[in-house]
Amino acid sequence: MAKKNRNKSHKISPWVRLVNTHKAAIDNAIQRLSLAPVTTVLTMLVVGIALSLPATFQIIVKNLESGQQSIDEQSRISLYLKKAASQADIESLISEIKVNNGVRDTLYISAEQGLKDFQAHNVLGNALNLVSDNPLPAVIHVFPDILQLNPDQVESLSKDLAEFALVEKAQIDVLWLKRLFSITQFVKQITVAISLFLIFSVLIVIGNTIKLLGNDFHDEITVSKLVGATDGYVRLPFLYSGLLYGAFGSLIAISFVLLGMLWLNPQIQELSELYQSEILIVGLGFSDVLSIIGIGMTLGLGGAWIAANRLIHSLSI
Amino acid sequence: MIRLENIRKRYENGHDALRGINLHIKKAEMVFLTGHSGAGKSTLLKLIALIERPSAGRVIFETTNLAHLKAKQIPFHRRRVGVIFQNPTLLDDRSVFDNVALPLHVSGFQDKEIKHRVNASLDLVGLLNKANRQPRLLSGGEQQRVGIARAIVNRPEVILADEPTGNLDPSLSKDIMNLFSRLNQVGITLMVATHDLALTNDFKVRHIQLKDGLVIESNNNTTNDQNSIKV
Repeated sequence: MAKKNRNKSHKISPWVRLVNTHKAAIDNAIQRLSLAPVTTVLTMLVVGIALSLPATFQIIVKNLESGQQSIDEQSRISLYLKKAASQADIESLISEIKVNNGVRDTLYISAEQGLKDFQAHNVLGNALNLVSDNPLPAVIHVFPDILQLNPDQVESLSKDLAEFALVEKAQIDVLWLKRLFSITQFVKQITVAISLFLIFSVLIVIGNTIKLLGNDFHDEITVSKLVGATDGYVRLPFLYSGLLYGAFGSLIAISFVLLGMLWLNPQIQELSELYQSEILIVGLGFSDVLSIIGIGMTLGLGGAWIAANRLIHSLSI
Repeated sequence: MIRLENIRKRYENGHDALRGINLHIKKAEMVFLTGHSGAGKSTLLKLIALIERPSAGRVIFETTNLAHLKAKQIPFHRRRVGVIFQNPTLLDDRSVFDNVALPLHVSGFQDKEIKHRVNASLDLVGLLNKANRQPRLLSGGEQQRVGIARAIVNRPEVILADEPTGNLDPSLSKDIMNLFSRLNQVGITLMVATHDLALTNDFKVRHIQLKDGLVIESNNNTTNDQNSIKV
């Protein structure tokens, strides 16, 4: 009987063993966290606060970029053509411009169309009627591709276009684009710096909590190692604890961000009304939520890994 | 089963715990390691369980030179060796059953098999009816028996006991030694370190006496010893 059992037990499939080990480790991790509820909640809160800051900055960057894009749609290089230009010349010029990589689209407005638009807007009243000739030149609006070109490149594109013989004058308004672009770059850099800083602190916070947790379980770890536990077995519950800290911490961060946006929403509406425009706020998308949780769990795992290894190596056994 | 060749152990503080030990423990043999505290008994057992490494010499376990085991292989060696200490080091946050089950969890056994084996172990040490108790509510002798149940639950080939009766009164000590003797009869190799000669003299097994890190006497304690003949 004993012999039979012995043989049977030595045939545990590695997969069953793996599943059993992980199941036990998860139970163990949850049990360990629930034994110190205050520490657990505080750690998750700290992780949540630390992660919500970079997440907020990420939203600011996204909004700046979307603002940049809407300005992009408005930003154009206007090419005023010489009066002498014939229709065929203009058409060949347009196709030549369109070949350019940095050009997203063009819009041709003939002199007659320009005059009609002008009259429709009735800007100068009947003043235009006093002029016998159409004073307006034909215009080609060139829309640069902002995703490809930075403001400096748009400017040099404009200079290049001004070189064409048919072009009388190229006019461009990139000042706002430039401003927004540099603000976005600046905020992006701040986001990276803050993120690195906070990622480091999340690692330390989780690592430190795991270390304290490890002290509480010193006896269990020593006895486990004595009866043949591998380092991996000892480490596993700590890794799951770290994962839990990271996961719940990032959920807290996400809810902080959402609450913050809810709180800001009335102000944004007011601002939007003042500017008589619709400011569309880009919030947290599904992929943002996933990446915050992913980053949180990775950091939890990393902090736990470092702390658990230090703990294991500090044991004399 | 276990062969020690010219074993020396010097601790980092310069203390020479073992100064040239040669021993051969046969398969299914039971031996007592005797000697005063500080004679090197504990160190010797720790070398076999790979809690310590020798400064010189070789420990051969069955056919394996333990010096050749890498850090990753040590846990698997320890699963073949049951270790019992003077203090049973039970975990107070869980029941007697879960304490005994720990080595099986460590080895990844399934719940059904764990239940079966833990109950068998507890039955052997006479504590099956206390499986759900907390360890600290048990008497000293019972706690030590839980420690023994934990050491045998993995069905190790060798059991190393370091002063297992150090905290117990004579009659409880006698019970524990009888239990060891029964384990020996089912084929487990045992090394029991103790300084309690009054207790060990009743057992007709080899006594290995250590003094200052050397073997000074190794006798069979009988003219007709069955245990040491059995190979």
